[in-house]
Amino acid sequence: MATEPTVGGDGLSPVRTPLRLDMRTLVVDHHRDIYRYAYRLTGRVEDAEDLTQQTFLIAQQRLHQVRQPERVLSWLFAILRTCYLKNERKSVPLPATAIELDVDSIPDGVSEKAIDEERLQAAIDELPDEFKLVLVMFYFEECSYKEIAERLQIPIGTVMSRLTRAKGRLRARLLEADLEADKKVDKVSEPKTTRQMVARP
Amino acid sequence: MTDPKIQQAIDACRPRGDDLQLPELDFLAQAVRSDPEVRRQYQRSQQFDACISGAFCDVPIPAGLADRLLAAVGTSPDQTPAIPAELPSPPSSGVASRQDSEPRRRWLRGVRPRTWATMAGSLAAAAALIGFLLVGQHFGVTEPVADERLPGEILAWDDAVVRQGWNDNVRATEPGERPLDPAVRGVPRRWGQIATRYDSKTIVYDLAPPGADQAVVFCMRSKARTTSLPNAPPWKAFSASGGLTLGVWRHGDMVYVLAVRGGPRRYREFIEASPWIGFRSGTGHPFSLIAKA
Repeated sequence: MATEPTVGGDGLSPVRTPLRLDMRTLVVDHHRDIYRYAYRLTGRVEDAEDLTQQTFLIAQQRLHQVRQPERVLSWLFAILRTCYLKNERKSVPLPATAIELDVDSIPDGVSEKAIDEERLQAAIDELPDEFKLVLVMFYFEECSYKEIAERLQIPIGTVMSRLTRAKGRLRARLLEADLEADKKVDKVSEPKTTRQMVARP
Repeated sequence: MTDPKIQQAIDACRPRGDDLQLPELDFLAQAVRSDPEVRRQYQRSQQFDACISGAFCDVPIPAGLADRLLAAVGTSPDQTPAIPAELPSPPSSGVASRQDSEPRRRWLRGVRPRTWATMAGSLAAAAALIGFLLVGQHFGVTEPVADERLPGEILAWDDAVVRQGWNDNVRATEPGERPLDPAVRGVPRRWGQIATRYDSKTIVYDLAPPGADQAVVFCMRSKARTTSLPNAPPWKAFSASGGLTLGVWRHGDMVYVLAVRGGPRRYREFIEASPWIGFRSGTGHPFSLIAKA
């Protein structure tokens, strides 16, 4: 006989065990992470807050199903992803003409301060949902490509391909100003200046 | 130009992670050790990813978010200890008055304020079904039953459909193996296939027009030799929280679960409007127990 359906694909099978979690703790402990995750997916403060609220309301309905309280954040992320897909599902393909930069193009000495927040979010917003999810799971949840494949129930090869393409798009958006600057510098035949992305002393 | 396989592998390595030690990325580890160019690219990628990863988490939290969330889930911010979550309680009057004094937040999808009312309704409906359930358990239930557990299962099935994705190709072969019961009204506009504990090839049909609330039918091939299900869509459906209305029935070796958001009236729009609803000729009353040979 088959087993009960799992919750969010994270192996948190529903069981009727005494509960060790409560909603207040869940909200207080995890609302920041959930909101940040939601913001990266939606790109809008209002939508992120709605998605956060929706996530906790669904979690409240299913809290009794949690078997492994130590993995509850991962479970909340799974609920959030599902809510997001239900709300937002976009079937826009990644444009074939979209510029993607491979790892060759990454300059030396990139610093976190040089990452332009607006450009980062704009780059994420441009991605189709399936690429966006993989990216957020990789950078935010710090999931391995295997974990992403397991949780989204897609093949590992698909995850790796989406990751490379999404990261390529991200690099292109974040580095484009520097590449443009380099082109201009080349045109006036001046020596290359340090890129904007490069850490400054 | 980097070898695409190497590039994919570099991109798959998490910042600050130990992914290079994974056996399946051994080829990358060797390349990093032996090829200075690959090593340089790997190091730059790791550094860049660490920056991105840090920036990903750098999102300011709106003021008062935790309070609004606690109010939404019916837990007062200054309440200790927290309410038990096994059975969500309706918000107390104290919480309600606190909510009134807060800046108004728009409720999600317009269903949240109704949740408690529908929950109360569903509890009453669940109580009415207890006798029905007991009989079902007597026969060893291997098919879905319209009880308080089913909404949770349907949420999980919904999630599975979202993960798997809908299929717009109505000419595909899979739906033909689990066809829609003719007693269901409406033309499916898409379908999906998911594994449930009742049937690993359950087909779900989406009956709702684009933009409308959920109306889906899960079609399962049942191996149960006995059934406690009606043999036609029940007119009197099971009301669950969140405005979800459910009907479960069996026709031949197929079991159908109709899940509709919007209450009993909308549910009935998706089943035959015949005065004989619930009665399939020659098979008896829908709520009678029908033993299948």
